[in-house]
Amino acid sequence: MRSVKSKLIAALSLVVLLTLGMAVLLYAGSRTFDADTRRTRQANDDLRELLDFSLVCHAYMDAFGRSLGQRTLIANRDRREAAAEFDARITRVPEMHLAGSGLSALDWQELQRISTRLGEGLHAADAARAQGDFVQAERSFAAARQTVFSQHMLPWFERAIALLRADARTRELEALQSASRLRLTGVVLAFVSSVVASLAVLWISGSLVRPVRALVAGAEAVGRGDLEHRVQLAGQDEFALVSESFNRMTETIAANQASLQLQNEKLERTYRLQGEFLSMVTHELRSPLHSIRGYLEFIEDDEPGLRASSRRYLGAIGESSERLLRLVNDILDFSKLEANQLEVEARRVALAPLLDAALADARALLGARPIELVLEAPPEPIHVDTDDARLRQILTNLLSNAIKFTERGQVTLAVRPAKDAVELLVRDTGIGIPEEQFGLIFQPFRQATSTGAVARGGTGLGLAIVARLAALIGARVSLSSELGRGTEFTVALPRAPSSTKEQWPTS
Amino acid sequence: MANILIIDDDALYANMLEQRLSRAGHDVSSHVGPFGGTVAARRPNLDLIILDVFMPGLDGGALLDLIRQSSGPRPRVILCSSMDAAPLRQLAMQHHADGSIPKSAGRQQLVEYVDRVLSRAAISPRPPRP
Repeated sequence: MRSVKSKLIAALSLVVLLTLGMAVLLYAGSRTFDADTRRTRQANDDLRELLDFSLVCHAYMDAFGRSLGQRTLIANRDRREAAAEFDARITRVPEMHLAGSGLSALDWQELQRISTRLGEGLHAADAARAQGDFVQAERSFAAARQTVFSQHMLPWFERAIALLRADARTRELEALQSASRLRLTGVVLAFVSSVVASLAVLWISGSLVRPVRALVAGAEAVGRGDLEHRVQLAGQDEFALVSESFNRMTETIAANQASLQLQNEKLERTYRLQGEFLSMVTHELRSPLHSIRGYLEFIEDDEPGLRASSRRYLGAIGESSERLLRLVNDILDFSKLEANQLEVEARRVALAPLLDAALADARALLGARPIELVLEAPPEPIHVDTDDARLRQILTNLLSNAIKFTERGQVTLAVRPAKDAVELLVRDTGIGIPEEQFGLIFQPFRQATSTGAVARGGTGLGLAIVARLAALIGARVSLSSELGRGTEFTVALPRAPSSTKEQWPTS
Repeated sequence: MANILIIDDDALYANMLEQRLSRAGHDVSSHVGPFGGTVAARRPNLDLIILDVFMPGLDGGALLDLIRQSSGPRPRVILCSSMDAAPLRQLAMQHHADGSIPKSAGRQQLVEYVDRVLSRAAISPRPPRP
C-alpha cells in the first residue's frame, strides 16, 4: 500500500541520498585537488633544490679554482665548505621526487657519473698542485671545468631544470583544473539537488492537495444535494480510503433519501386517501341530516295541533341533528385545513352584517341558558379585506366556545379598531382557562379542564379550526383568562389591504 | 308555477325536496338515481332540473353533460349537493349549469333561489359537438 507516509519517506530519502551523493562527490573532488596541490608543491620544491644545487656547483668550481691559485687558509676553507655542500647535495638528489616528472631519461646516476668524472679531473689538478706543478694543476682544472662541468654537468642541470619547470607547470595546471572542476561540480550538484528537492516537494504537496480538493468538492456537491456525485481517487493511499468511505456514505444517504421519499409518497398517498375518505363520509353524513331538517319543518307545518311533549321531542330531534351537522362540518373543515385544501378568497366586506350573522348563529346555540349576548361596536361602519365566510366561522366558533363554557352572565362580541388592525373580541363570564393550558387549547381534540368543569361536548375541534383559519386569513388570535371570572379571545385582523392580500394563499 | 324534475340517488332527500317545492306551488316529480336520468329529462314541458352532484356510478356533472348533448327540450339545470357552496358554484360554472344550491339551504332560501333561476333567461345551449 502506497500511503501518504511512505510517499513522504520516499521524497525525504531521495533528498537525503542526493545530499549524501553530493557530499561524497565534493569530498572526492577536494581530495583530488589536495593531491594535485601537493604534487605541484613538490615539483616546485624539487625545482628550487636543483636550482640551488646548480648554484652550489658553480660556487664549488669557483672555490676550487681560487684555492688552486691562492692556496690561502681562507681559500682552502671555502673550497672545503663548497665541497661538503656539493657532496651533501649530490647525495640528496636521489631523495628528490623526480620519479613523477620526465626525469627517468635523465636520472641522477648520470649526474653521479658526471660528478665522478669531475671529481677525477679535480683530483688530477690537486695531485699536480701537490707535486708543485701549478701549471699542470691549472690546466687539469681548466680541462675538467671545460669538458666535464661546462659541457656535461651544466647541460644536465639545464635539461633537468627545464623538465622540472615543465612538470611543475603541468602540475599547477592540473591543480587549477581540478579546482575549477570542483567548483563546477559543486554548482551543478547544488542546482540539481535543489531542483530535485523542489520537484519532490511539489509532488508531495500535489499528491496531498489534489485528493483533499477532490474530497472538498465532493462534500460540497453532496451538500448541494447532488447525491450522484462520487469522489474519484486513484491509488490505494489513505485518501483513497477516505474517498471510498465518503462514497459509501453518499450512497447510504442516497439510499436513505430514496427510501424516505418512497415512504413520504406512501404517507402522502395514505393521507390523501384518508382525506378523500373523510370528505366522502362527511358528505354522505350531511345529506340525511338535511333531509331530517326538511321533514321536521313539514311536521311543524302540517300538525299545528301537536301535543306539547311531541313538539318538545321534535325540537330535541332538530337540535340534535343540527349539532350533528355542526360536528360533521367541523370535522370536514378540519380535515380540509390539515390537508391545505381549504380555499380563501379576500374581498372588501362591511363588518356590521358579519357580526350580526355570527351573533345570530350564537343565539341559536343559547337554548334556555341565562346568558346575555352583547355587541359592542363603534357606530361608524368598518370595512376589512377578508374572506367573510371564514371570519364568520371564526367568530361563530369562538362564540360557541364561550357559550359552551359559560353557565350564566354575558357573552360579548366587541370591535376595537387599532392602529393598523381591527380587533374583534369575544369575552365571556365563564369558568376560565388555566394559563398553562393556553397553548393546548388550540390543538385539536383538546379541551381545557379545570376543577369542577365537565366535558362540554363537541368535537374539541372548534378552537383548532379557529387557529388554522386565522392563520389562513392572516389574523392573529390571542387570549387572556382568569379562572372563575371569564375568558377573552382577541382576533386581530390586519387592516392594510395590500399587505393582507399578499399574506393570503390564493387559489 | 313551473314543471320541475329532481334527480338524486337519495330517495328521502329527493322526496323532501319534492315536497318543499310542491308546497311552494310547483309541479314537481323526482327520479331516483343517475341512470335513466337522461330519459326523464327528455320529458316535454320541463322547466327546471335540480340535479344531485354526488351520485354513485354517474356523477351529476357527467349527467348534466349528457342531458345537454341530447336533443329535445332544454330545461334549466341547478346543481345541488351537500358540498360547500363555493366549490359547488365553480362546478356549476364548469358544466354550464344555470345555477347551484347547497343541500344545507333552508326551505325559504331554496324556493327563492328556484324562482330566481326560473325568472332568468335560460343559458343558451352549447353548439352540438362535431
